[in-house]
Amino acid sequence: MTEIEHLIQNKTPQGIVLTHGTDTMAFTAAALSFSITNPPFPIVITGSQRSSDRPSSDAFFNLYNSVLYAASPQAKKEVVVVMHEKSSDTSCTIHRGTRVRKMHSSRRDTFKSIGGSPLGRITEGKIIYEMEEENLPIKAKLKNKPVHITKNFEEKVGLIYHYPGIQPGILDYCIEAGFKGIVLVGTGLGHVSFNLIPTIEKAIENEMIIVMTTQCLHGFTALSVYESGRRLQKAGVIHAFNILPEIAYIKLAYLLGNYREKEKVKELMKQNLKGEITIREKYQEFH
Amino acid sequence: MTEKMFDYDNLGFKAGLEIHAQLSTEKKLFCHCPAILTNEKPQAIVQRKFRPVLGEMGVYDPALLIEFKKDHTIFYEVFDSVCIYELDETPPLPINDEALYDSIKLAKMMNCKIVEETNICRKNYLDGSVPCGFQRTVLIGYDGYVTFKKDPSMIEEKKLPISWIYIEEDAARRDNDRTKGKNIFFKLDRLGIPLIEIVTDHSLSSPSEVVSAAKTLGMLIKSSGIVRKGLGKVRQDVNVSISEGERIELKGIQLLQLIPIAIDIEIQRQLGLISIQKELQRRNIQPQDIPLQIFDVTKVFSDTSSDIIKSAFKRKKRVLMLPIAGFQGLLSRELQPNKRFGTELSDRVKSFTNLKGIIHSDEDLLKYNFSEREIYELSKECQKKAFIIVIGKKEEAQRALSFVHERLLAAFNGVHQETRHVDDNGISTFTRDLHGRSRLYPDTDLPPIVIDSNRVIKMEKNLPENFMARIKRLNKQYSISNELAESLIYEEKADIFEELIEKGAPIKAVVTTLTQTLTAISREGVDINNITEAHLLKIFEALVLNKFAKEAIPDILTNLGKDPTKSLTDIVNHFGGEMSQEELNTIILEVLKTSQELVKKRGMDAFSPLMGLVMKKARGKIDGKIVSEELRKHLKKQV
Repeated sequence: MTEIEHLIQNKTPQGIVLTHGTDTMAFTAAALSFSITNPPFPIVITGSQRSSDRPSSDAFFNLYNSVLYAASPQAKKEVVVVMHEKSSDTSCTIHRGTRVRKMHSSRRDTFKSIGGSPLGRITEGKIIYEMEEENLPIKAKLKNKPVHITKNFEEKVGLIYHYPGIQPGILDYCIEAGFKGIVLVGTGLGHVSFNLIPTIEKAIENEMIIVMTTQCLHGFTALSVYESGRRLQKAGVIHAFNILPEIAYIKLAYLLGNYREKEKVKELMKQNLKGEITIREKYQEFH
Repeated sequence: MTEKMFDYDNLGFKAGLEIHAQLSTEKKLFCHCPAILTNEKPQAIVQRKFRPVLGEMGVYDPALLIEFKKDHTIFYEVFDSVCIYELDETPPLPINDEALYDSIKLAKMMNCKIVEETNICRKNYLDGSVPCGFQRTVLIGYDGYVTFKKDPSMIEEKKLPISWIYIEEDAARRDNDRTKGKNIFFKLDRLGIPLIEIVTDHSLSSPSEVVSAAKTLGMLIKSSGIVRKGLGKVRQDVNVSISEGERIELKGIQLLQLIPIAIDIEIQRQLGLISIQKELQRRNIQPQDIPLQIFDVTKVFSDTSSDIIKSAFKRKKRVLMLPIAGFQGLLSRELQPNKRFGTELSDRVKSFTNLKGIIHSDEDLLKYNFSEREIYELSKECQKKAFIIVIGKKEEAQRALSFVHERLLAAFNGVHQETRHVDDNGISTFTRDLHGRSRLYPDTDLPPIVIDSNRVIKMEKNLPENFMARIKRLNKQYSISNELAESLIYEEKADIFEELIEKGAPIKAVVTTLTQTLTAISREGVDINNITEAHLLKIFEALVLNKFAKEAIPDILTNLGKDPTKSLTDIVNHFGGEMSQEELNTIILEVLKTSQELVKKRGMDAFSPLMGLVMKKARGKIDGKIVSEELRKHLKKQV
């Protein structure tokens, strides 16, 4: 991070390519997206699913296309992940750093943009943009403002996957340990078992921010439709449309690290800062 | 056996064998896909590029670099029978237990020591035949031996040490129909089928020993009951060297009979290369006398009437020349029947680049329609030295000449170590340089395997019948000759033979069917692959029940082979149907009547032709023995 900051401040490169392990690549992509506002050049993260000691490694192709993109005047000045589009060594996808997810434990084409088209793809050395116009702009990108970097992330933030039979004690621990925020990964539209709700209420009374996301990954959360959702909403659980659970976790840690006012954090959580929320989900995007 | 071509002892001839056989397991070695080949159309095609990687010692394997320079693009045909493991999209599952212990069984049959713990190793391949770029191979046994007869006709036996036994994954099948230029296609179905590799030491001292040892190993493997049946399922490679030569790997020899022919041709080739080496010494030519100095001689052909050059010019190709001092007359030296040293250089160029080959100064250049002036200019350009010409795009032509140059330098050392593919006529073609050792290294995807020694001990007590013992038993039990027993085992027919006899089929008819009839009808173009062991069992079952006479077997098999969809019962009924004695007598009398002249002329000697005529009508419907008895009786009366 310090090195990236250094590069940014000196404005030397035309773009940077960051090589990264694939397991936590999406977390890093999101973290960089939130922490760097108005980056002066494209920041590309890439890696490989087959290690580079194998003749069949995808490392070379991914690195080649990442450099090609980072150095291109056509490239967008934001954080992206560039990785294999298919099993073939024929094209790479350019994913926005706040919509990307590792979806397969081993395949080369593991990274997918969820809930909308990826930013674009690179095939035979050409960059082709695909993202819908309405999703393209990044709100937090302020015109004519200089780059802004923050390295503050709140550590006491949790990510809890809900399951039938979950024990409220898990949340009790977080309250006792002084957690400032929790992202819950609920079922369906954003639901949890009723027996968890009193503990959630207690957590919110203890100044904790609880954000609801969905295990379905695809689709929006909606807390007004069913009883469970309505009770959560009443308790003060907030939700942020179709933000992905891991991205919500990073975003919450970022907001809590940089804003003191809880209300501001809650408000910003629901805003689309770095393209983490899809404006409109199209029919063709899910199959 | 062909007569001895060379004094093998004097030449210091040495040979070893490398045998590969597919195990008959249901599943593949490192995934759960069925171990089957398919004729399906591919569901998808996946495209890949390979890159050389540093070996454990931090250097590139030169053979892998050459493979990389070929700049091939690989296409994989994906079928329903394969999973993402074959596509190198997921790590291996634990090794197939059945395959592992089957191969240990075979290693035990070859008196090998079994490793206590074994590492899965990677062997790099950049030709695309393995999508992950390496073949997984596992050492199973070492330090074994098999006993074989030095010569099939001799009693003297010899021990052939077995150096190593590995189990590995079979490679993908190259699809030559789709492969074009630098785009190489592979079918993924064969990839991952368990393959056993047996490596002998290098102590075979004559071609006949090699044949005998290969046959023995073949019989042993085939009688183990763990390998897939069928031609090509057991493949043998022969390593050959002579004292002054080098170890050459001869691959692709399908038939035993071809081994001595291929070996003799290889010895001839090595002797030829050695003679070139000596001639260079005699001429006092050194490697530094042939620097890699390439001349662009395109302008020599500015108004050429040579068709190959004219059409090359249309595609913006150039003519490059490499002068080679001191090689006059050596390029045309014949190394194999109709293959000269120049052909060896050309084969390399064809293998490493997309160029069609080379033109050299020992050839009659007029056949390329070069003019006298062009030839004169060429020879002036290289100061009357020998030369090699290639035609191609500048970069590729330069690359081609650098490969030629490399090979020419190797000629100063005589024979160059390489792997060669043998054609059906025994003549071999260069395939690749011998891979270095550094491409074998431990696989990090799976932990070492500990072999269950108790299981091995149990297995050892229960090994399949040794084939030598089986030959003796078959000989004794069924009164068949050793040679017959041997060929039944080698041709993988011993099991069905014993099964048929057990079911009550007459030995003679079974032997004739298995060893003669099938071969005969196959020669006539019938596809005998359509005839299964289950078919044979049914046919002989019907024979035992007198549903037809044995003379109908060839007709039944022919019908079945031509159309396997036909019902066997229908075919048997068609050729069967008992003929009564009266019916037979009517036929005999009719034949005698129409052949009266023949009977008058030849008397009892007319029996044979008459028998043929009667059998035409009675074949399969009544026992031939009865026909002959009856015919003899009637003929006697008339003579």
